[in-house]
Amino acid sequence: MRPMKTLAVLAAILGLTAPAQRASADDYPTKPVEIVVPFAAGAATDLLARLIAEELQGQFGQPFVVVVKPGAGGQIGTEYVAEAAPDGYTLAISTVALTSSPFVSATFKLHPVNDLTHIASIAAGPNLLLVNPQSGISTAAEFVAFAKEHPGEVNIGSWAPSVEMNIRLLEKAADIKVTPIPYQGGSAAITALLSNETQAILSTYQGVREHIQAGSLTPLGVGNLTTYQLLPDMPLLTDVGIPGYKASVTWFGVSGPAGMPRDVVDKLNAGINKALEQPKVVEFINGSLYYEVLSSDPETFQKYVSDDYEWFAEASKLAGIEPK
Amino acid sequence: MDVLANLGMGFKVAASIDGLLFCFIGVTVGTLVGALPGLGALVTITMLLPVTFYLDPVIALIMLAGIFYGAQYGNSITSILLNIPGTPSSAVTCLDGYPMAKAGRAGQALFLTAAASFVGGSLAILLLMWFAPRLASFAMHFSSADFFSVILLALVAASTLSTGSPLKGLTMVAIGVALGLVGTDINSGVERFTFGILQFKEGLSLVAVAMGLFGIAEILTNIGNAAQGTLIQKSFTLRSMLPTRDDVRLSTMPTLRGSALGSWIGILPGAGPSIASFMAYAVEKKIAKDPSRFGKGAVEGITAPEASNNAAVQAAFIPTLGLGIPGDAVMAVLMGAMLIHGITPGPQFISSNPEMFWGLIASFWIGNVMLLIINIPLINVWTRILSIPYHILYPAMLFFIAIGVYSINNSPTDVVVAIVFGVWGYFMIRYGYSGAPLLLGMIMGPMLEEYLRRSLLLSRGSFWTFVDRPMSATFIGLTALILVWPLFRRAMGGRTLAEYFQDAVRKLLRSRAT
Amino acid sequence: MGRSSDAGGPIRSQAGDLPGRTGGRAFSRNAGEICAAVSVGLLGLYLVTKGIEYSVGTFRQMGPGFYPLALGLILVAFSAGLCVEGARAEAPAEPINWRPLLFVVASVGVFALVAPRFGLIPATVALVLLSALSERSPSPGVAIGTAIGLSVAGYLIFLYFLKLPIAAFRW
Repeated sequence: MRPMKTLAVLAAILGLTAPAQRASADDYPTKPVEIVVPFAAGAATDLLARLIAEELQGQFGQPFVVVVKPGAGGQIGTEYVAEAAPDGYTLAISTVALTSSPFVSATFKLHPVNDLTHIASIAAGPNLLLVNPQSGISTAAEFVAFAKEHPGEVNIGSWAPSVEMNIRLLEKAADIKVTPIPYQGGSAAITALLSNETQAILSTYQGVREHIQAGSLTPLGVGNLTTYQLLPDMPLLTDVGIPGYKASVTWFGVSGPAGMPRDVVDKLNAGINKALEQPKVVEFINGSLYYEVLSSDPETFQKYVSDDYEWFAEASKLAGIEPK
Repeated sequence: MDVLANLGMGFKVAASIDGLLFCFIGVTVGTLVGALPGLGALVTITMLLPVTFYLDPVIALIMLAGIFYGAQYGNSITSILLNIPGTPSSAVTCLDGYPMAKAGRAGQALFLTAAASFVGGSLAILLLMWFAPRLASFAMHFSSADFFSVILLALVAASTLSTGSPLKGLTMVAIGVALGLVGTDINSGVERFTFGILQFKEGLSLVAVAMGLFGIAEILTNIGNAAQGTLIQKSFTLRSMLPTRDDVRLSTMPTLRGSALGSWIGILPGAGPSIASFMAYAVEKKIAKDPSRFGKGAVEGITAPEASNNAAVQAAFIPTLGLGIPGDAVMAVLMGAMLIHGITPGPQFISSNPEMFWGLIASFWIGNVMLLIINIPLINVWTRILSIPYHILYPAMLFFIAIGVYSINNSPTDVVVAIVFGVWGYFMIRYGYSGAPLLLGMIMGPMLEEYLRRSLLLSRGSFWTFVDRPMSATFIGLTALILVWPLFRRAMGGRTLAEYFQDAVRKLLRSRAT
Repeated sequence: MGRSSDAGGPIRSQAGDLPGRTGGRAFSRNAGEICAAVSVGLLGLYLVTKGIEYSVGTFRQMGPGFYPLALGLILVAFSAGLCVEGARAEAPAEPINWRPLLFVVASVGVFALVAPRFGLIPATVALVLLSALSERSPSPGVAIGTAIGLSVAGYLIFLYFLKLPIAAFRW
C-alpha cells in the first residue's frame, strides 16, 4: 500500500479527521447526522448504511455517523428514530422488517407508513427457494411432489416475520404442509440447511451464493413475479411448479421521523440517489450483496412502502397469520 | 509440504510494513479494550470498521482480527488485579487469579496467563493451518440434539465452579438460566419477563450483569473494609514476577488441556470463549488431585481458562474462513468487512483467496508473538495499579465499569441493570453465593432451551433423538457419568476399583464361612 | 458449611443457657441469609406462575412457559434446602455498608442519567464526586483531582482514540 494511504488511515485512526467544510447558515446539514442501523453490525443493512454514509459525508461535508442499535427485530432502533426530532439529523435504514412485523408481532407499535417519513430507497432483492442436494431434489416441481407425499415432514428454517409469511404463502400456493423451524438468524438457518437439519429455505441470494457455487445448495427458483435481473437465468417459481407464488421482496431504504421538512427530504433524496450512481456503490450492491439498486424520489418510495405494507396485510390474511 | 509453502507466502503479506503496523495496532487496541471492563472486541471492531474501507482487504482483516484475539490477552488483567473481569470470558480467571494477587503473586499470575494465552492461540492456529476445511465440515455434522447434549454436559460439569456450598452454586446456575429467559422466545415470538421495557426484548445484557455482579458488587464489598488499600507486592522487578518451577510444572498440562478444549469449542458455531473458559476450569477442578486448592490461587485455575479462551477465539476462524459460517457476532462483523472489500466468505474462500487466508494466518502468528512481547514487560506496569490507594482506585473502577457498560449499546438501561445486579450481588456474596455459576447459567441456559425445543420440534416430540445420534449419546453418557461418579466414589469409600473388589470378595468369603 | 455449624454449636450453648435466647440470637444472626434463601423461593414461585401464564405446552411442542415452570419448581426446591443451610450457617463477619451502597449506586445511576443528556465529562465528574461521598471521611482534594484525571483519561481513551459515539459536552 502506498505510504500516503497508510498515513491517511493512521490519521483517521488517531482521530485527526479532515475538518468539516463550512456550510452556509441555514443549509442542511450543519452538524453531524446519525444514521441508525436497527440490526446487527456487519450484516447487509449495516454495510449498506456505511457505504451510503460515506458517500453522503463526501457530498455534504458533514459526518454521517452510523450507529448500530440492534434488537427486537429492528424495533428498538426504528422506534428510537421515529421518536426523534424530525429535523433530518436522525435517520434510520428501513427494511422489509418494518412492513412485515406489525402482522406478526403484537407489540410492534410503529405504523410503517404513518410514523416515518420515507426519504429514499436503496436496494431490493427477491427471495429464492433452496434445498440441500442430498435430498435428491433439483426442481421446484420435484419439491412440491415430495412435500405432498410427506406432509409436515419437510423442515424449513424461519427467522423473521417476513420469512414466516413467505413460508405460509408457499404452503398455500403449492398446497403443501411443511414445518417451520425457528432459528436465531438467516445465517443459522443456512447452516442448518447445509447440515441437512432442515430441508429447504427461502432466502435472498447473498447468503447462499457461495454455497450454490460450491454445490452444497441447490436453488429451485425465485419467489417473485418478475425476473431477477442479476440472475436472469434463474427460473421463477411461479413458472416451474408453484403457480402464483410471490414471496416478499427484501428492500432497504432511508427513512426519518414523521413530519420532516420537504426541502430536507428532497436534499437527502438527491444525495442518496447520487450516491447510488457511484460505480463503487453499484458494484458493492450488485456484486457483493446481489441486490438490485433501487433509486426513487420520495413519493415513489413512500408508495413503495405503503404498497408493501398492504401486500403483507393481504398475505397475512391469506396465510392465516395472527400477531402474537 | 504445501502448508509450509503457503505459510511462507502468507508471511510475505503479513510481514510487510503495513501488515506489521496494522497488526500491531490491532493487537494493542485489542489488549486495551479487553482490559477495560465492559467494553469488548465487538464494539471496538464495529467502531473501527469504517476506517478499514481505505485499507487493503488483507490488512484490514489483520487489524480487526488482532483486536479480537488481543482482547483475550487483556481481559485477564483486571480479573487478576481487581477481581473484575475485562470480558465475561475471563470471569473464571478471577476465581484463582485474584487470590494470587492478594497473596502477592499478581506478577506470576499475569505472566502465566499471558503464556497460557499464547499456547492456546498457537494450538488453534496450527489446527487452522492444517485442518481448516475438514474441521469446518465437522462442525456441519453437529445437529441441534448434539449441541443440546454438549451444553448439558457443560452445565453439569460446571456446577463444580462454586467455591462454597454446592447447593448455592446450583442455585446461582438456575438463577442465571432464569435471567437468560428474559427476552423474546424465538420459537413462539412471545415476550417473557420483559415488563414492557423495550431494551429487554432482546434479553438482559450479559456484560451488564457480569459487570454488576463482579465489578460493582466487588467494590461495594471492599469499600467499607479498613484493610483495603494495601496489596502486598514485595518488589517490582521482572525477576520477582517470574513463575516458579512448581508453577510451570503445575501449569503445563492444564494449559494444553485448555488449549485442546478451547479449540474444539471454538469450532462449534455459537459456542464462544466464555463457555470455553468456564469448561476448562471445571475440567481442571474435576480432575485435580486436590480440588480444594481451587478458588484459593491454584495456577491451574488461571492457565487452563486463559489458554482455552484464546484457543476458542482463534479457532472461531475455522468455520468462518473454512465455510463462511460465522461462529459468533464478531465473526459476522469480520465477514461484513470482507464483503465490503468485495470478498465473499464461503466454502471456496480458502481456495479462491489463498493470499488472504495465509496472510491472515501468518498475521495470527505475528500477532500472538507481539502480544506476548507487549504484555510481559507491561506486567510491571499493571501490578503497580495495585499500589494505587483504594480511594482513588475505586472511583476509577466505577468510572470504567459505567462507561464500559454504557458503550455497548449506548444504553442507560444497561447501566441500571449493572447497578441492580451490583447491589443484589453484594448481598448474595455476603451469604456465600458466587457469581461465576450465574454467568454460566445465563450464557448456556437460553442455548440449552433453544436446542432442546428445536431438537424436539425436529424429532416431532421424540426424546430418543438425544441418544440416537452417536455424538449426542456420548455426551449424555458423559453427563450421566459425572452425575453418578460422586455417588460411586462415596460407595467405594476412597478405595480404588481393585481394592473395592478385594473387599467385596473378602466379605463374601467371610459370610460364606459363618 | 456443614462443618462450621459444628464449631458454632458448642460456643452457642456456652454463651447462654436459656434455649429461647440462644435460638433467637442464632436466628437473627442469620436473618440475612434466610432472607436470601426465601427470596430464591419467591423467585421460583414467580417463575412458576408466569410459566403457567405463558402456556406450558406439551413435551412435543414446548410452549414458552415450559422452561420457566420447570426452572421455578427447581428454584423452590433449592430454596427449601438453602433455608436449612442458612439456619445452620455462621453470619457474615462484617456489617452491611449502607453508606457506600447508597453513594455507589447513586454515582453510577447519575452517570447513566447524565451521560446521554449532558455528555461524558459532566457524567464522569458527577460519578467521581458522588462515589467519593461513600467514604467515612471524604477528602475533596482527592475527589476533584480524580475527577479531573478520569475526565481527561476518559476523553482520550473513549472519545478520541476509540471514537465512541458519546458527546463530551452537550448543553
